[in-house]
Amino acid sequence: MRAPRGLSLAELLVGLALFSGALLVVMAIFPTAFGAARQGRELQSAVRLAEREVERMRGLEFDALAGGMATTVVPWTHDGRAGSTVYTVQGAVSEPLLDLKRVEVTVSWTDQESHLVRLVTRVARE
Amino acid sequence: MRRPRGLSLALTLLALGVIVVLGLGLATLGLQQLSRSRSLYADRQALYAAEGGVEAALRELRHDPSWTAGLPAEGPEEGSCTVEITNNFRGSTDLTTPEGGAVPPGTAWVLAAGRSGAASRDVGVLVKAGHGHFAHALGSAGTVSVAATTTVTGPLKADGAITSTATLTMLPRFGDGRVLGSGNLTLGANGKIVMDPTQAVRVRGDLSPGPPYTRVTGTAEVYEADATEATDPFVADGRITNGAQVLPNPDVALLLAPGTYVDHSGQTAVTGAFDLDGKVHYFPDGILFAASSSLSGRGTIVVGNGHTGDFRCALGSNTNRLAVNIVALDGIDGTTGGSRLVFRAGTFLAGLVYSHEDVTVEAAFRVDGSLYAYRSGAAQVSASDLCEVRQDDLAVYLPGFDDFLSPPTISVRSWRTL
Repeated sequence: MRAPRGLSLAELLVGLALFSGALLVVMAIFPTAFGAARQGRELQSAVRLAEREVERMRGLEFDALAGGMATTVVPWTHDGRAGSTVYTVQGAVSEPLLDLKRVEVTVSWTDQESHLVRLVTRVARE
Repeated sequence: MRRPRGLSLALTLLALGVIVVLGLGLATLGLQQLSRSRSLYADRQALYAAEGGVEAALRELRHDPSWTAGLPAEGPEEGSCTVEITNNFRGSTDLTTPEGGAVPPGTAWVLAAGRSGAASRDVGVLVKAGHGHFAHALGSAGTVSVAATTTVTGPLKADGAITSTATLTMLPRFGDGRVLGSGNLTLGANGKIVMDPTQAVRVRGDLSPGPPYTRVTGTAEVYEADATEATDPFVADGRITNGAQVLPNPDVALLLAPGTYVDHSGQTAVTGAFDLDGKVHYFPDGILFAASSSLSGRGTIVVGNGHTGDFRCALGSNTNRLAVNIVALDGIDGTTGGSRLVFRAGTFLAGLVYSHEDVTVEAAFRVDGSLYAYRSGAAQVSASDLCEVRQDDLAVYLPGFDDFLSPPTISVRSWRTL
């Protein structure tokens, strides 16, 4: 008697069922992975933008550092990748002590939810 | 041959394994990127908190150069910072930081520690103090007489006559390089004044030779019979602190505060090496530094009321100015004195030269600081040799003169992210 060739229907169905079930579980990981990566890139870009704004403000003359600096909206491409996120950069200045100003820069953006980073430093009159 | 059994299961598991590894790998990479970004955020918050702490410390030092308190943690939301300071602005020997570093005299070490979550950044800054400067390069409540080539950088002001038989070059310092006289200005046979184009010569009395003032070059602004505030006589009495027309007058209780100075009562001569050692040295009976003597270190010499500081030895050199203030006192016991200072050998100082009466220069002389002769009507500054006086911050802290000095200049010598 000749041995049967190929896979039996039963084997194929069991294999497909196992594969499909496991694939569904694994596929659930991908959005999380991609989401975390995107969130990381966005956070890094936001921190860089905030740094850039803090440095710009620290470079101003002490008297030119005024409260409620203008808001700027920056479309920012992450590492040259396609797609961009729109960030809102906002600087705020207060003078809690004579000759000492508090400089606060916030960068906010929205994807599925709202995000915000804030850097705070102080600048003294020379 | 028998067909191998379970092959489809093995293939399925293999494919699944590949997909799971790929998925987990991607997830790990994504989470790592997020973690790195969060670390970067916390790191920058800590760094800016620390740098802000340094700025706050600089502000404290500018307001109070003796500040040693440090700053407690602030700003828990976006990064907190604590500041430690090792302040040696007014010290005479090295101080040691809590970390074991040396802080030289005239400097302060500021250590700001920024924290944000698990991130921490320290910033260390070495700050130098300028101790402030007086309002004039050269001031006399009496006369000023120039008999050798002289350069004054900063304003020159005298209540009495200003005379010159040599070239007097005036340069601006802190924006001011005027000649201001409440009396007459007389330029002898070889006397002339070279001015900066932005500066003026103003005398309340006569300027001789008169118009067109060919002996005054460089500026078109020459005023005789000037009645502006600039030529008002010095206010020489008391410790009036408003306006630039006030001659400095030390608060002796601070200059010679008990326990802060070295008392050389009874000593009237120095013949060998003398180390200032960062201290105030008080010679109540006057002092003669013989030609054989030598001064080293940095500090202050105070000559007693009614006596003379006679310097016959070389002080410093043109390339290494001696950081010393020399003060000849008046009024320590409520009487008027007449103390004098005489410089008979090459003198190169960074500091204040101040006499209640005369300052006499008989050899090459250069001061980076200020030169004042105080006593109204009687004082004179006379230079018979090469003389240069440049208004500048004092190199050594001088107690008792704070009210007459500009706010100290605090400058950052090094800024290190640790």
